[in-house]
Amino acid sequence: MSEAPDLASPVAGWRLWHLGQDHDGPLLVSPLRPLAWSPRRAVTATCPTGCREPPTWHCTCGLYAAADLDAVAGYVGAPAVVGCTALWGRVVEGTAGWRAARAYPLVLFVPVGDTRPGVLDAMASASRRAVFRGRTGPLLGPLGDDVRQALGERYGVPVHALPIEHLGFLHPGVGAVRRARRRLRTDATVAGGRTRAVGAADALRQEAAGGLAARRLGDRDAERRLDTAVERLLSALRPDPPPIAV
Amino acid sequence: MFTHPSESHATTTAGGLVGDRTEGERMNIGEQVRILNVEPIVDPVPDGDFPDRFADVPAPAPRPTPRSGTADEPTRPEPTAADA
Repeated sequence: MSEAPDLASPVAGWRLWHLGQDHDGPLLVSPLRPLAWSPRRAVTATCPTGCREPPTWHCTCGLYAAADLDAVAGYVGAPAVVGCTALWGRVVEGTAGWRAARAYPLVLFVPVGDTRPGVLDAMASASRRAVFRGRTGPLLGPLGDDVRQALGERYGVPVHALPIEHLGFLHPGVGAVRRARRRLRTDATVAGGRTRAVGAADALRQEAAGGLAARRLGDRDAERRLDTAVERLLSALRPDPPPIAV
Repeated sequence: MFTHPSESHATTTAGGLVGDRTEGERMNIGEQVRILNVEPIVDPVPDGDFPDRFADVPAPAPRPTPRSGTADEPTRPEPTAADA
């Protein structure tokens, strides 16, 4: 007899992927180990220490996601695909995130528009390390609309372009972005907590999970709400937002 | 050279920096609060639900009443010596 569910909609959290590819197109891969997130198939957690039903309370197994987009930034070592993922099944809730038994991305953001040398090389290097460890194969070229479209068609989730200069959280090494990041930190201090971008990211995360059933049923309003949340996040991440007209 | 910050952390704690042994990555989810059983009413995986296909459930059977013929009519048990 199974226990009654606590939630009827998935938990949503932020996480990162590196971009690999197989014979059919681009592939999302966990950052450090070659765990590929198969398209249109839920990822299921396994535990090498032998937990029967990962995640368990006393172990650290499971599929991770953070509550705040800002929290993900500290774990980025290379340009990456960032997105909001659904978590369900057995879920261990933490004060800053979750680890769960099953996961699948809900919304993805692919960095585009960067022609500076080094950034894409870093992306390719990270993907190579993650995906093609011990294997050989071609890597994707520069990220762009082609990759965004391919990811969207393959995974069946909305994929948005995230201009590289908007990656205030994700690319601390880039000059313009470093300034944006510093500004966001200052805002956070002044506001005594969350920044506007973090708030927009939180709203998007909740809409992505809460509106899933409605979107699946073809509710145009739910799709519009998600698009609006995405636009607000992209606007909030913009390094130099235009002044608000009064 | 990009180095993942978690690569320098070998130990894990329940409330601090925890490791994803499934994926080998580290992400801080804070202090563990509770365990949830989450069962979404729709599958988060696209095409996981098939609205145009009915659920594979058994055909409804008539209520098993004594006169519907779907259940055996109960019989009164024979009294035994212990009942007397």
